[in-house]
Amino acid sequence: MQFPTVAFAIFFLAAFVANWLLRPHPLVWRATMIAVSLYFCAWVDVRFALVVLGVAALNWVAAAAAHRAMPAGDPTPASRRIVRAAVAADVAVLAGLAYRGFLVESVTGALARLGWAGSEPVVEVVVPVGISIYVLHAIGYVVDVGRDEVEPVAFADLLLYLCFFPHLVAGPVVRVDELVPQFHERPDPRRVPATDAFVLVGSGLVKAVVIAPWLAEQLVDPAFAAPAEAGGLELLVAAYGVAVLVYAAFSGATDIAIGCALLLGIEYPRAFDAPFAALSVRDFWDRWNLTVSHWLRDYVYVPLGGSRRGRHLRPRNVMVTMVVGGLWYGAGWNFALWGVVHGVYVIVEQAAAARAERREPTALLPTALTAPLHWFVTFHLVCLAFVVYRAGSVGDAAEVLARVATLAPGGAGLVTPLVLAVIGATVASHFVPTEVTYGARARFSALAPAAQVAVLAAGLTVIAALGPEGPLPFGRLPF
Amino acid sequence: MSTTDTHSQRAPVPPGWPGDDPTLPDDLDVLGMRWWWWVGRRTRARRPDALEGPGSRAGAGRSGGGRAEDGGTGDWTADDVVDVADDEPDLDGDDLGAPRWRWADRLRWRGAPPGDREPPDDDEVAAVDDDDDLVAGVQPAGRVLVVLVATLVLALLVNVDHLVARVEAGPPSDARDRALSVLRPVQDVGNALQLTRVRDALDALRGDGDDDRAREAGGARGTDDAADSTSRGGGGDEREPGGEEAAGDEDGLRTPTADDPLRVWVGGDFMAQAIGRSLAAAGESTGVVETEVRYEAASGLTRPDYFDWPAAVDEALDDHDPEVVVLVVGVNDAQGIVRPDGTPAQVDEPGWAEEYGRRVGELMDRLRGDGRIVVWIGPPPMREPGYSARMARVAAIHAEQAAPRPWVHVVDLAQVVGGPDGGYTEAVADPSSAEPVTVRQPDGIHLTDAGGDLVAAHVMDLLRTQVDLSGGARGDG
Repeated sequence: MQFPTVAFAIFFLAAFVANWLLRPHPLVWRATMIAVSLYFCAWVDVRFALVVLGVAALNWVAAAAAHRAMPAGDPTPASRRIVRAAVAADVAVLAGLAYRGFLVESVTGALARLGWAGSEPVVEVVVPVGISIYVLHAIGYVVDVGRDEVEPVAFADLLLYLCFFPHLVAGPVVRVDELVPQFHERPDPRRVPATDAFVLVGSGLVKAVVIAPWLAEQLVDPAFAAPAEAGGLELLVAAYGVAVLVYAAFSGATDIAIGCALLLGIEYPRAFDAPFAALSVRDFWDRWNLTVSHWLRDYVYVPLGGSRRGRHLRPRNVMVTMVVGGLWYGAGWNFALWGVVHGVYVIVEQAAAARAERREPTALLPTALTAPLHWFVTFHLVCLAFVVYRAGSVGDAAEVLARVATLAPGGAGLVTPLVLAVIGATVASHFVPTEVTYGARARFSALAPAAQVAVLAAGLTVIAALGPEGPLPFGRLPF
Repeated sequence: MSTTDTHSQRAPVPPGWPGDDPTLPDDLDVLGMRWWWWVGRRTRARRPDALEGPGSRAGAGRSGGGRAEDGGTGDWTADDVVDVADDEPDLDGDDLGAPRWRWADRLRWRGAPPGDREPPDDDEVAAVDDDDDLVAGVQPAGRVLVVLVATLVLALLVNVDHLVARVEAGPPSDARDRALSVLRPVQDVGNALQLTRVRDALDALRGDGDDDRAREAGGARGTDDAADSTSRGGGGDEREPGGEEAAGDEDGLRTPTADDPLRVWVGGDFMAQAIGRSLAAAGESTGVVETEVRYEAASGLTRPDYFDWPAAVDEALDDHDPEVVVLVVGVNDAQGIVRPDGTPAQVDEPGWAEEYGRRVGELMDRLRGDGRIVVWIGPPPMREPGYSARMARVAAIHAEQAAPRPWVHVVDLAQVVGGPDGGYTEAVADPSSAEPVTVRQPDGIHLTDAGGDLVAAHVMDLLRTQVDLSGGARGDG
């Protein structure tokens, strides 16, 4: 695809028009949206569309069979076997395709053709995610049916739930009962929350197109490419940079997806809730990529027994969940290790919390200092884990951390005031309540259309100009 | 991320729609196409429940247009709204808050003078009720569509120059050609409306946008540190001694060494990328040549409004003080030109060659320096005969202008990557191995990497006749 800007814009506009014109006709609407979404898959790779179809068929049949095998509503041995087989097949698809090869190459190639070459880390971040989204959806569906939490849905609904194009590549991960009912609702075509959607897409573009690649290029990539040349403080800032970079890439991508869906009258749950404002690691996981975290909780942690099978099994379950979560972010040992680090954090934190509960509360610090201290420690623990996430190997991670710990001298001139400002502003934005922007939003909503157009076009132009390279930003969407 | 703001207000089947299987309302107002949406007034879709009751069908499509239909334009003002708000207890608490009220109040448009207005009716009260809608920007889909389309068109016009450059930088293919054929007219419109200047101004504000791109293009020397490309002026001074050592035009240049390498600067249109890359590699292999590459896709000498090569050359001379300049231009030059007096001249008009020749000569003069060698690479023959003929004409002007200027060495690409007759060919025999190598990309215009290598080898041979490049090879090898 040579001309992504206009191609994606036209694609979305066509989908937008078709969506609102066909909404009154449920059957036609679903068929059209499936066609549009499969076309979108095929745009990346025709095989991608075929795999989505195959996964949908497999899970639809399996879910129907499991449902028949539990006439009383409660899971039976037969239904459990069916569900397990379906999940195993889904995992096999994921492991065999996404994590081994051809789709990653295809998508990477497609992204390169879309003009995304050159900012490798972002591509690495986004690609495995995209491929796994529909498999996560499929697993969630068949497990939910097996638990009798949802009724089997029509094949068309399932297929659309898996492949609906806004979430197809970038997420968020939604449960079947969050999305499929919306397919049957009639959003009012006179009530499109346009400003919300524009704000989401715009902030997503700023994060995914401007901040993430810029930080990668200016700070993170050079620092991690040659940690021996960078000073300890510089590497510390680079660790902050990784955290902000990964946040910007992921939340930017999901914001764009949520915004696009909103324009089509579909609401997704929020994926990120100011993770850098967290006051504990568990709090961080209540704010970081929520839809994925909830999926992991519902379909990994809970089946393992969660916290109900005794205290001694809980650490194991946490650790397995975290490692699986880490691997979801990327197929590499560094991602698994990142999961291990967070697993350790959470286990230690749970143990400490349990111990604190048994003792008399002692006030070591004035209350006014507790929250900032918690924040400070949490933020640095999270950033430390992101060093592992980003480092090429355990050795590299150790070297970076050692240099940070010893405040090693040296400097590659990577930390500029602008770099600090971008990192600081991103983190600081997490402490600003959304309500602060309501005035500006209302003001924008009240503008005449021509003025809205001018504002939006100016915004797009600024984003395009600030992006590391390239004209309009659509070529860099993580779709 | 207030995606939940509107959730509670979702109306599965909006009241007031015809029948129990509602279709899109047939009246355009619901789609938001009333003409005055474009001329300024704030409008908003009412919450459907405000439209229920007798006559709701009639009200369904009003979306604020009701005022006009009711016979008054602007028959209520901020004051009314505030009064209403004060009387409505349920408006105060929940999620609205005082600050937003002030915003909302200020946003009410003020229409007719106070004396003419009537108190707000139920619809207006309902309209006040949905400030959440204002924050969420709730609008009819049709209006959103219009805003989206207009935004994209405007953004396209503003950014079209960069878009064209980006598409041109991609590998040649049919899709690329199609995209360009669509984009070129858009580019003309954008330029004619001066909209592209907005982006230019933004880039200028950003500072060294061009330098960044040039740096990316010129990976040749691996200049990774931004400081290198942003610091200006200093480089030239530091390197002055090297320049002073240079001998006169005929005597050739000093003998470069690994410590003080020959400074080569390659500039030009997109062809300069392939040639520059190959030249940088060839220069590096000698160990005594340092190459800087600057290319600007779709640029040339006929359209200084798009890219000003004389200015870029001045900047490069200041920054790098090159001893050898390799300039690759002409591929994009067969287009209308504007003469200094402001009159345009098309390619086939007599004034064109005169003006184009003047610009070529002026640039050649500008490049003249203390013993500096200028290698001028014009366009190669093209597959499309008409285009090829125009390129031959451009190349002839280059040669004509170079003739009285001994510091300019013109490389005729027809001799290097052309067929035996000097016409277009896809593959030529490699002089070193006699094996055929593909020198042109499938578009029949651009050079392949191998083609770039051939041209670079030719240029290096030319340079060796002027400069002793053996020093580094001995030193390194």
